[in-house]
Amino acid sequence: MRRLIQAVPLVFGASVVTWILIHAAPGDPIVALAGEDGDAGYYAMMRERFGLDRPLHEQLFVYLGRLLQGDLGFSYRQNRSAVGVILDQLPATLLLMVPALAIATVIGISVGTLAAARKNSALDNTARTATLLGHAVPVFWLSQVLLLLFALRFDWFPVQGRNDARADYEGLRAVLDVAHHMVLPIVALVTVYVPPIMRVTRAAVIENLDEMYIRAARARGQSRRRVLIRHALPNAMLPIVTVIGSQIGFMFAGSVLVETVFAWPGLGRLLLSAILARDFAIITAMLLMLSVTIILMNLITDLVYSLLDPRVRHGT
Amino acid sequence: MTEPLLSVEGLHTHFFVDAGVVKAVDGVGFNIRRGEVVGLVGESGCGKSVTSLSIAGLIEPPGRIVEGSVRFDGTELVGASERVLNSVRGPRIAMIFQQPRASLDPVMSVGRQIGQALKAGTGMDRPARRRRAVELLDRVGISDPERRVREYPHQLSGGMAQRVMIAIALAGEPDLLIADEPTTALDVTVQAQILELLRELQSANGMAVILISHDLGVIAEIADRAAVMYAGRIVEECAVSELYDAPLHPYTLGLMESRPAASQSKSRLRVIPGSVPVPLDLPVGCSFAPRCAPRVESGLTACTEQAPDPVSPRDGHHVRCWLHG
Amino acid sequence: MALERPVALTEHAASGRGPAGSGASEHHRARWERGSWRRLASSPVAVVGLVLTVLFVLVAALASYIAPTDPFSFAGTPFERPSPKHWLGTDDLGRDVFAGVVHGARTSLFVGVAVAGASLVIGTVVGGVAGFAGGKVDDLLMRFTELSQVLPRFFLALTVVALFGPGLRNMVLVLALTSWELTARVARSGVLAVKELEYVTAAEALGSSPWRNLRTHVLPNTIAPVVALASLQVGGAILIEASLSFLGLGDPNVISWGYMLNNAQSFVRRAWWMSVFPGLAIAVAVLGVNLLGDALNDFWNPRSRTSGAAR
Repeated sequence: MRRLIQAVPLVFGASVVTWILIHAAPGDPIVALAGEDGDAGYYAMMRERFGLDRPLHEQLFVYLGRLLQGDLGFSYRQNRSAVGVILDQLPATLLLMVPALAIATVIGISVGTLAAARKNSALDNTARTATLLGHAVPVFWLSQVLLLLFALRFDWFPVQGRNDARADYEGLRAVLDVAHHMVLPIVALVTVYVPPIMRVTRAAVIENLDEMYIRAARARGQSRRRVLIRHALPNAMLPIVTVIGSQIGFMFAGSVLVETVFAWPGLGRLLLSAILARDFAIITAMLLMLSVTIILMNLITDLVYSLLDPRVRHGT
Repeated sequence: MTEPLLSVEGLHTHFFVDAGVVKAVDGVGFNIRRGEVVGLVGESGCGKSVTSLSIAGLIEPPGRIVEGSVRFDGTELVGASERVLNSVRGPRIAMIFQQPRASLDPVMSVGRQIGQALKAGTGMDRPARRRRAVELLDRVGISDPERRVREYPHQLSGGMAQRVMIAIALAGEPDLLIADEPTTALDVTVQAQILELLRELQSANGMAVILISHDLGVIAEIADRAAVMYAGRIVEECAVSELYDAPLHPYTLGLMESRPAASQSKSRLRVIPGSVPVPLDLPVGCSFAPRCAPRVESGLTACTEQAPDPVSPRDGHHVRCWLHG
Repeated sequence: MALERPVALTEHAASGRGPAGSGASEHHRARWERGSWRRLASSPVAVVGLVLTVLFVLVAALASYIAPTDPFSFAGTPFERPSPKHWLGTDDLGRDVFAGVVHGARTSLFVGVAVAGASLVIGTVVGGVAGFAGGKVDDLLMRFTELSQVLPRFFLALTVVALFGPGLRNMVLVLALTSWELTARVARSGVLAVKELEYVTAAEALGSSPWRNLRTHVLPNTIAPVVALASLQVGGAILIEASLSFLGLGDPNVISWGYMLNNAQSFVRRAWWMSVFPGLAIAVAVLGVNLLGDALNDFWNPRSRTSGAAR
């Protein structure tokens, strides 16, 4: 509850930042809210809607009021509200992000835990090197290379898109077709999602393996493996959850870039077309929605803390 | 006659660190019979905790048992497989530690931690473990055990946490309990309660106990025999009463005199001059020689040339000291 | 009382793990001694990072000598494969890919260093003011750092560049404005340490002047960690610049690796070399500065758990 109250000024701050950007941008703020190429009547409508004919401070209030009603601007190009356009594309993006995050979490936590248990072993060194490389490789280039190798050179996977446009599959075949198209983008995403999770898991598990309760658990006959899984890992979960929660913005960025390479019909392609068409309503709305999502993720992270740790739950 | 329950011989446990080799335990040997209570005394850093961890096979790198034997009830534990050690630790040799709260997993309920020990020792099913956990908490004197069994370590006081640790230790009905400074971190009144509890449980269950402490008073409270450690070795070993009445080693003497209780009548506390040697850089000869006043008075030269071997001037009383050799 | 005498070294031994842990505090104390520099130099990670970073900087500095060809000029026929004439092939307009990769290092290095430098300045100023002023100003500024934490850097940069027009200056500005949080925290605690010290010296009237103390104790212990932290920003900034250029939001007037990859995207089927080499250059450069940054931070900020990927 206390956390919820702390989140309010952050949402307010993020909205003000977006508003400042819209107004500070060269040219008419109406363009930033509604995109170029609108006709005069449309601009007049938007001007009235966001109170752009009134004094600046009033404009801010009108803008914030609009935001509270879920109105983050209107795309003239698409002739729809920006929020609506974005929400339409969101499922396709989540179709890649959610499985990628799930796979990355499993890989990151399990490999990180094993690496911690066998510090400085071959496995640990390989994992650490892979982490360093994963941090350095640009995800869109990795996607291009995957595409070059596994779609073009070896022809194991379809090149781009979400389904085979030439075939007209139904039922299970259609699902398998989409799954086939999902493989390479998900591989690319997993590659960039894993390193932070693995790195934090390793560090946190190593730290907890040094704690006294580990020795006490071993002294009551718990095996090395059980101590690792039942004691060290659960105690290491807080930083792991934190890193997963705090990376959500970074994960969306990766997703957008990967989608662009694989021509996946999600937020990435929407964003790319919005950039080309200078459809700023979509861009600013996306920024604000993502900021709020990040703040929400922080709240969810706190919630998960109290589920994982009785000390947080009891407020000590 | 009968074989001792635990027999430690020539135990050497060393730590291999960047700065060199720390010989934390350097040739320790002693026996414990069933049901016997032995106190292990010494200043912090003398190797008493490392001795106990070595017995339980809990030395982690960079530490290693480089030499010696630990026989427990006929089984050699040095070099034994993890499988064997895991079946001995807990059910047969239980341990409690100096910091009870830090020794309990903060995110696991008290009941489940007792349950782990019960599962390892008895193979009870879940509801039975739950019932037994409540009984054990009751046994170690925790009020409202039904509620406490669901609580987490941060909800317990230090004394209560040590009672929980004792309940965990009792779960497998062990033959040997190693208590490593079990009362040091607790309030004085709680210290007495915990010691009383340990003594009562020991006589009821007939388990052997190794009580590790820097405090001779604590040892005198419940031990039958005492072993005094200095710089990785046992320098004197005998019955507790004899240690009090007729100590032989100058270091033991110094320990006695530096006890607040012993010096009450005198004007001020006597302190052993000098400090514990750094185990990286042990002196040649007897480790205690640099701090030993009787050595200077006697003018013995052997002390600084060669380490003394144990001698037994009296029956059942061993001492490592040239003054008695 | 003699019984309670703590022996730092053996306390660790008693915990069953040996005194390995005691190295940390000594390491802290010794970090300005020459021996510790040798330690840094003996870490393979630091050496690899340093070598790659030096290579990256040299290529950027000597770009015109290494590849005299103008990366925008039509040096050959379109889509030439890698050959002795064009080491890394040519692109769709016959421009030399090698020249592009070499000259692109300049753009990446500029963005990386400019963002790190600007975030260093902003972070030090914000942290410094917060530390010196204390009270409400401190609270407010620290709230700001919280806000900068929840704003998604990549999307914010994207929005700014989309709205304000592409250009390296806008990009550097917005990246710097979103990357000073850690620097500010460290600078703030550094300033608090100075305040503490001035108080102590005044109270005890020690012989040495506060300025001398500032120079010999506080600055070395504050500046170095702050600079080390800033070095972590370089890799992230390079990646974001490349990402935005890849989306077509790069500065159209300068060659950059991201722009080359954007261009390559349309010809993945025809010319693999257009994709492979600029991306490899990004990976190598970012790996180098990340490794070096990590090593510097292990050295100067051993406690902080900052990750090398400050993106």
